[in-house]
Amino acid sequence: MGQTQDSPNVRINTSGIAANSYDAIVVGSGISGGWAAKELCAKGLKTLLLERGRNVEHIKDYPTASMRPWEFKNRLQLSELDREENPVQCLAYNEGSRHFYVNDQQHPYTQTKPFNWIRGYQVGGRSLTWGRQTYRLSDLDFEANLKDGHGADWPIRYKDIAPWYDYVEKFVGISGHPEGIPHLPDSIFLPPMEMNCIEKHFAQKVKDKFKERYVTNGRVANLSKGWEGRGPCQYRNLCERGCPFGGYFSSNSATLPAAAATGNLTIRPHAIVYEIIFDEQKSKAAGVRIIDEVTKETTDFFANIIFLNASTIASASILLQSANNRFPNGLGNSSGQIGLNLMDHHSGAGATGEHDGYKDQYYTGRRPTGIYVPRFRNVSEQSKHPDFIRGYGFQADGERNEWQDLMQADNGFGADFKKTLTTPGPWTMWMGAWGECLPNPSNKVILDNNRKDQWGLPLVEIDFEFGDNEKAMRKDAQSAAAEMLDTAGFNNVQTFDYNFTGGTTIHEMGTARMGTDPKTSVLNQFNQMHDVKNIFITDGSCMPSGGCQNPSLTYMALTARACEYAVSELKKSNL
Amino acid sequence: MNRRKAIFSLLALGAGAVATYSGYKLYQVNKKPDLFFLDANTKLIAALTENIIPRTDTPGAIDTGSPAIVIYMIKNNADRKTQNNFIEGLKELVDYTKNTYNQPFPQLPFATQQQIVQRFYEKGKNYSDKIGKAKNKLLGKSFFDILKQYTAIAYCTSKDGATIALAYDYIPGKFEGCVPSKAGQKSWATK
Repeated sequence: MGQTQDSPNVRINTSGIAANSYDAIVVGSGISGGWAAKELCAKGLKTLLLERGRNVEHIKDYPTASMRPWEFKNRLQLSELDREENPVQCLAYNEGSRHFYVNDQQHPYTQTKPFNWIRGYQVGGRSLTWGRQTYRLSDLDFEANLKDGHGADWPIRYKDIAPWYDYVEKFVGISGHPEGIPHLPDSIFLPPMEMNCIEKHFAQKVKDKFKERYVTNGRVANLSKGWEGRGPCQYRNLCERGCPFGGYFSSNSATLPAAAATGNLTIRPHAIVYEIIFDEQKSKAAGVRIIDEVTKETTDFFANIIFLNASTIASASILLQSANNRFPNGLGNSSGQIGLNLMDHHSGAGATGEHDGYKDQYYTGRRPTGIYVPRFRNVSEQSKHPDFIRGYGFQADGERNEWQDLMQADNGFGADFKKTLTTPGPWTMWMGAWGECLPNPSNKVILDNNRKDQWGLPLVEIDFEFGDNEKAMRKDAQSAAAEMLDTAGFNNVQTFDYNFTGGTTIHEMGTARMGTDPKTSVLNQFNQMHDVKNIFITDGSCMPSGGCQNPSLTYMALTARACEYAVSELKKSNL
Repeated sequence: MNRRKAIFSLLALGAGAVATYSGYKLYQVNKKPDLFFLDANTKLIAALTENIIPRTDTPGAIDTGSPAIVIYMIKNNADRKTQNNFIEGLKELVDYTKNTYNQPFPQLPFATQQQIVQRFYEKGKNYSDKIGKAKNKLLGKSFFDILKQYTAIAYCTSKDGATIALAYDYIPGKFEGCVPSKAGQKSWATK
């Protein structure tokens, strides 16, 4: 094989340079990596997509997608083994989706403070299991850091990304309703998924009683009509198992097939990135060295440009792992910012209530979304809140109590209980806040060089906790939700606050932030590394702030925008 | 004895009594569960699930194969506290039935069975007050609640439970947010 040894642990494959050379390498096949692969392939670049996990082919590899509840051994309940072996991942999975999550024993990490790092190592990554809520950011978000001084200023504004939101939305297919809300710009929508009776009632009451508060249909990457040869959604609400109808957007259903159709895509599963190979003379990345997950052999791949889309925490750790003579603190880390400012959204604070009305109304089909109350705090002078900056939006859901809820109640047993259990109960509403988390350099990712994984790579160490601003926001979210439910005539209104551990919302962001100043940021306005011009990072790590909106749509838009820029620079021979 | 001192000793006594009680209970709920007892009492467990969800105009727990699922879930899905509370509850019920009726539970008339289950339902109820909730957290759910909830899960996720007693729509194909409920409207089996 012509391998020469250059260190006790690393072998460089010198014979395969030609065979292992591509125009572009994309690391990671999740929601942003899928987009990078699609865009680069479409622009004619021979693209290698590296994925650390196994291959998952659309439809063929969704083994649970068509199973009925009684076909599951544990009837979709977690087993004690799940809780013992996968204490973190089992927070997010069930028996139908477990195979799209990593095993906590095989993929350990170090938690300085409790942090739930929930992952899916397979082709498609977490795009298979994501929540599919899709909301644009606005200048309220892009200007936030500049205005209140937390974090680095975004190097872009809404006008820079708006056409790219349009561009990706036309392909993704997002159902929703246009509202004309300045701080939550409308997407290009497919028809919305309609509200049920109690949600319509709630929306009307909120509209009547509150200024600056809106209630809109959840904006979701599920297809309310057939789109780009996919879907439509069949209203099974089993998205997390993979959809045999292609009813929702994932890398597997959408971007990867489009990339493959160009003939330019090569997918290499089981490819764990050991490091990004840096060419000191040219001062740019030469390629990527991988370890095969199964054989543990190393192989080098070479390319002119590299897109790093391994997900926020993994992308930071790859850069830190790729330290070299020129960049002793991590590749492209002259700013010292790589790994810092880790953010998540905080969720799980809000209120529930019951309503006496509409007993003669029900619904049919299982809608894979709920309703949304866009941010209404700190959006104007009048709506400034004394206790916190930034804000939160509510995701909410109305439904009638069914057996899952009714079996918990103190309602006896026998024939009467059976009747209660099988008959629709009262309408209830659940509202939970998804809130912004301030960028804070003490929330960070570093390498734990004392512990190695089974491939000999240092474990990731995560040091994160939510701060006082988030806590104040959660307090307000509970009372605001309760107030809205009270106003809308709900009774038995109860506030809740659970789920406060970082990572649980699975919206990690911010470990390689964009910015105008190379001294204080890692990436420029096109997601290009200041220090290493042929590396682009467009996953959640690029985010200088997180807004309170579900972030995937923004990664997609930034990715498509960065690809356009990267290819034009490549053509100008600037890379 | 001054007032402050009196209050102190009352509290001390209280705390001590609780500690002794809880210490024993904590041992009880955390010990290695006697899972063989489940397999040795399948008829009893079946009869109990049928008491929770009896056959009416729709299938009952036994018709839907729920007892075997309850046993499977106690073994595989329940945590140790729940396993112990369920098994200890079963043993208590066996003893009570034997002492009171001198016959095994499954052989008693259904009405008598319902009376016995009612007794355990009442007993489990004091778990739902404020002190009960704290106790719940420490000591786990009551025998009755465990029996009821696992029976409900097993039943509602069974084929006949989902498709006959409830309404199951495999591939709805559409969503309509407001439709009039019909007379005798059944709940959806899945959310």
